[in-house]
Amino acid sequence: MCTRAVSGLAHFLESEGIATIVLGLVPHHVRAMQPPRALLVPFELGRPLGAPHDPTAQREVLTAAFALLDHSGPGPVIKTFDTEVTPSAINAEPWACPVSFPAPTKDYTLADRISEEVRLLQPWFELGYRQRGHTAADVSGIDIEVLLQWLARFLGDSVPTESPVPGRSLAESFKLGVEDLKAFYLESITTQPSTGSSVDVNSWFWEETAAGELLWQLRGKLREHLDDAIRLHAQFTLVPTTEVARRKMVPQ
Amino acid sequence: MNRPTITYNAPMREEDVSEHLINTPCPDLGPTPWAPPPTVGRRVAIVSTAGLMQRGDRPFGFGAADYRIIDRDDPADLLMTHISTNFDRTGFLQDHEVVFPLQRLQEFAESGEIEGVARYHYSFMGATEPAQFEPAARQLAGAMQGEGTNIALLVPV
Repeated sequence: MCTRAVSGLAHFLESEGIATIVLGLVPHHVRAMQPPRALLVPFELGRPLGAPHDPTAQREVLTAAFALLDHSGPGPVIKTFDTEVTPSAINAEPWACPVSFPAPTKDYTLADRISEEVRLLQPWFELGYRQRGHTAADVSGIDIEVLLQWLARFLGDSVPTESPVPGRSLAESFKLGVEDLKAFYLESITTQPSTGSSVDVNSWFWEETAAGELLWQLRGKLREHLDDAIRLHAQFTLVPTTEVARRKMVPQ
Repeated sequence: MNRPTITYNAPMREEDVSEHLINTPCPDLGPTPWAPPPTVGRRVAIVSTAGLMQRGDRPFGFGAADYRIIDRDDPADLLMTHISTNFDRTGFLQDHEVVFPLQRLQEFAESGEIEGVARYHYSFMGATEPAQFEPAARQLAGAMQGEGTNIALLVPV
């Protein structure tokens, strides 16, 4: 949806005198909305400048984007980023997460399994934090162990009805907590030297981890929650539509 | 110019765009406006729709039509609180430049390809209907001009 959003913003800013350049991830939306200048880039949603840690390629994108300013108008001026894309070597072979999680047993609750996963991933999370100097896994302000136990309670009989953080709504804490949990896993796994592609990593999270399983189960259960915003999150923001579609296609 | 070669993981080629995205209606915002870009003195600000904020700011929620200010000179962490889960976040988690290319812009300024990089940059949250951004965007244009910014690089996610 963001390509629609930047196209709309381009209309408003340009009509106020600011020259705009849109990077377009969804060509259909750019062509429909006709912003003044747009560069269509061939990257997946979430990566408008392409691959991480590739400053040369990022500069190439921006060079092509700024070249749009040389057109004399009127717009729309819509160009495609002229790249020779090569499939990632990472995709050439199946990727497997090097951290082995224990197989589920009857004695372990889902929260126990997540707790164990967090323990196994913690060294990689800490290394990633040292290397990057920042983390997105603490936005909720809730400690990761406390957080996963709190989220797991939504599956039980005593569903939380109040935010653990004063002054914040239940739904906001829930959403921020879910994103913290995902960020913890994704930051940990992408710190490892043999990180797979984004598709590999996201598939691993949603299909192989207990944390992913928790979010799948919450998606089903919380559609009946009393809080309107929690229900909206359960329906629209917990599990990506691509994963929902994939699970529908693969017999369980 | 040589065609750049880029290694990618999962491309958004036109044939890969989902039915859901193709079928999302796009509002008609009227004729395409045109502001002649300056040929010299280009000062650039990033306007993102990734739901970015600096630590301590308000997270974005459903239907948010306002924006957050990202201060180039403030070292506070850059965080993403976009409500959607339907895009890859692993690129941003590894390298903020994938979504918010501030360092790249500063390199362009140092090499003279642009005049300068604005101190203030901005982020909306792109799941909101585009027309709802209009009041905030028109107000933002005035603020940008007040800082001497004349180019907006609009970056989706």
